[in-house]
Amino acid sequence: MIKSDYGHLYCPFYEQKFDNGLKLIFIPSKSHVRAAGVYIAQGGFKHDEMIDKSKIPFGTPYVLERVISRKDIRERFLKEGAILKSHTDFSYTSFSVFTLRDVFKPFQDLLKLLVPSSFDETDVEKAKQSIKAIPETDLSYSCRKVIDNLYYSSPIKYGIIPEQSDLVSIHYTALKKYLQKYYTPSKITLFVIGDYTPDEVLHGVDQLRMLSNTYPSSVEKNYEENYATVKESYQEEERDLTYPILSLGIKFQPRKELYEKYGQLLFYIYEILVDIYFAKNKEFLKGLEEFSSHLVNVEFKQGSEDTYLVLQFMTEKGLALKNFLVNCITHLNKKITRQNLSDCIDDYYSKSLSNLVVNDELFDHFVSGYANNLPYTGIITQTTKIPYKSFQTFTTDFMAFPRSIFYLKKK
Amino acid sequence: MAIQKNYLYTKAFAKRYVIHCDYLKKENLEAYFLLARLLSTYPKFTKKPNLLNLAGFEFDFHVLLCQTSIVFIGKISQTVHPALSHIFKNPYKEGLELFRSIYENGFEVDNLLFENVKDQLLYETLNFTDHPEQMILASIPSFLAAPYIDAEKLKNITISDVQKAFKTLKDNKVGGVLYLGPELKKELEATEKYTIELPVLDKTVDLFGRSSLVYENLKKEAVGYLLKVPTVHSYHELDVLGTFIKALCLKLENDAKSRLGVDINPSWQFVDRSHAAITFSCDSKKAHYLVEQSFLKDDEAITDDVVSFYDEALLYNEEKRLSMLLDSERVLTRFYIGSAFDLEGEEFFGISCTADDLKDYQKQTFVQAIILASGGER
Repeated sequence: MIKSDYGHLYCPFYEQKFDNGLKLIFIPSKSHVRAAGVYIAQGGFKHDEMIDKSKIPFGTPYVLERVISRKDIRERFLKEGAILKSHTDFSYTSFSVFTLRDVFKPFQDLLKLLVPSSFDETDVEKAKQSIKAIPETDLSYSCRKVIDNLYYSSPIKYGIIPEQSDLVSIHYTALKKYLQKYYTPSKITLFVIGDYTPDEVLHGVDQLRMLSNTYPSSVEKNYEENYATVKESYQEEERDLTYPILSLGIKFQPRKELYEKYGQLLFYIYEILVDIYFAKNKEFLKGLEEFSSHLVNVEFKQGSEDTYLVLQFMTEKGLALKNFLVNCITHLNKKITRQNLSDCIDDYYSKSLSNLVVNDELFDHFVSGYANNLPYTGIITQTTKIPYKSFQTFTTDFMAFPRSIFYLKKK
Repeated sequence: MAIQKNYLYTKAFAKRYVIHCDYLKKENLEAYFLLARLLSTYPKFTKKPNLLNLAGFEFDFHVLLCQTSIVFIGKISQTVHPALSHIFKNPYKEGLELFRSIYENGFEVDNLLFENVKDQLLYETLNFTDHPEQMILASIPSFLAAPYIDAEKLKNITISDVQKAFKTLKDNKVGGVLYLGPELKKELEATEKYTIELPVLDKTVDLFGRSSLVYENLKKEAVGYLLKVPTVHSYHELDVLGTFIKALCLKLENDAKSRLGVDINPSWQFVDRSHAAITFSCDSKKAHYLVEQSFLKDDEAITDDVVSFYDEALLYNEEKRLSMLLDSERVLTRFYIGSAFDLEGEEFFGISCTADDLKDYQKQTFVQAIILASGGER
């Protein structure tokens, strides 16, 4: 196994790539709780119209995750002293087990679930019933509206969780085809975290019954997104609500374009972007106070070529706040000093260290960083080295990203 | 792991905590609520270096209910990592020094900022009214429930009201300091000011004063059951109690769904050594019906078959035990309960309980009161 060690973080990790494309990451940890997990490099962002001649309805990846980690399965793991967790993001899906005992037994049980024969139509129907509509608050409604106004046709606007109308068309066959295409060694990275040696981990993984690669044909979902503008730059709506909410959405340039310009630096900037521009920017927060407005929610998401940032404010002074936000963003490059960047990085570094010690945090952060093929410890290290000049270049680009504002007013 | 009334040595977390609890009369709740936010967000530091610049350091103040009083909790923490030096080596010295600094210097806001902070709290408070079961918990003398804040009272709070509350807090002598984190080289020595015993919480009190509550703006309804349970002396008994009440919650949920076609999600809260409360919310006009049809009857022992839900409840206990090692907030809550009620035993992180344990608890549990919350006639 190849060892990577960013010494100052006291969190080395080991990597191994197998012939079938499967990757393994092992992170030694002294914590009592051992963890193991599966990272699948495909998430809730809709990529396929069809796989192997079967329609893949929106929401299939999320329903599949819920079927695999259904209630009776989680109970079965608990009886064996392990907690089973799962998560679907836009770019990846993950399953993990946590236990005080030897982690390879529940890990084997987990891998056995990642095949079509581990569930049937009844399990799918039960899981679908358990996916209830998440009650929409004024805040989440406003967020959904601004994302919808940002994008013309990108599937990112639909989110990850299917509506009841989508669920009707999701059946066993779609889940099976999806699983056969994506739950394969070449798309999977295994994670092991615990007080083992690399040899013990390799031996443990050798004993696991592995999945096999399959290559079904598929028809990609085609869509054309216009990244120069937004569908609607400003919209107001009146509702019976307790407080008015103004939501600002920012649509980033396509990932490929940004990556060509910034390389991996892009993802290090993403680590601090919200804090340095808004959430911990003293001047920005002070400006909000003058308009009696408060930042109440931030959503920063990446999926396929798309990246968006949504900031939500409670405010009675929507128009004034709108002007303030526009003014603030268009002058951002003049407001971020070298010292601001340095302070923000210090804060980021000290907060990130705690994520390296508790094993579920460690797993979650490693996995989310892995969506961009970067180890979390590498992300922390490189984020602390962001050059001011490059950051300012990005800021200048950021200032020009198209924006949309949705103002939900009191009736 | 070593545990005492005021400290818990554990390496399970990446943090070390010093927690300062002030027990206060349940009056001027809205002013304390605002004070907690002001101290957390706009603390005034006169001593250098600025605490906010210390790596991995966080602090937070909040107010919770504590039976018939309230507890003003100050929590400071720092990441435990070889790359960071620790702020507090001795929690009674350095840790308390940090608290003193914040408590002495207070907060720094002008009138505009004060109104803004109040506005933000009002926004959060008004959104809270959609959670009627929380309002029930806030209305009874439950232990560690979030308080119900009166939006109208909050609107009328002035800086001077908050300053008065702050003075009362500073003069308060009833409280305690807790430490949670890696073992300290030297055993903790209590200093004079902080040896004050926590208030006795297990006095008989009028636990459920009213049988129904009406709140304006409440879109849903809620039901609360106050249970008289076997007195808890140890962490293990606390686990058995939690597991047994979970079984009751599961049965309530199952009956509501299968017999009445109503979806509910009951949860429970510890009230004192001998009482616990189960609460849940439901759609408007359903609460009375659910109570009528429920197997939990006022002033009666639980005779119905709950045994079939024991297995699932025992699994829940297992999950809770494991989750505690991943979630420091859960540990803190358990630690507050243990400290306040002098719980004994080395099994802080829990040991398995059995179906027989639960059967014993069922025989000794009674429904003492039922309370309903609604939005009144519409």
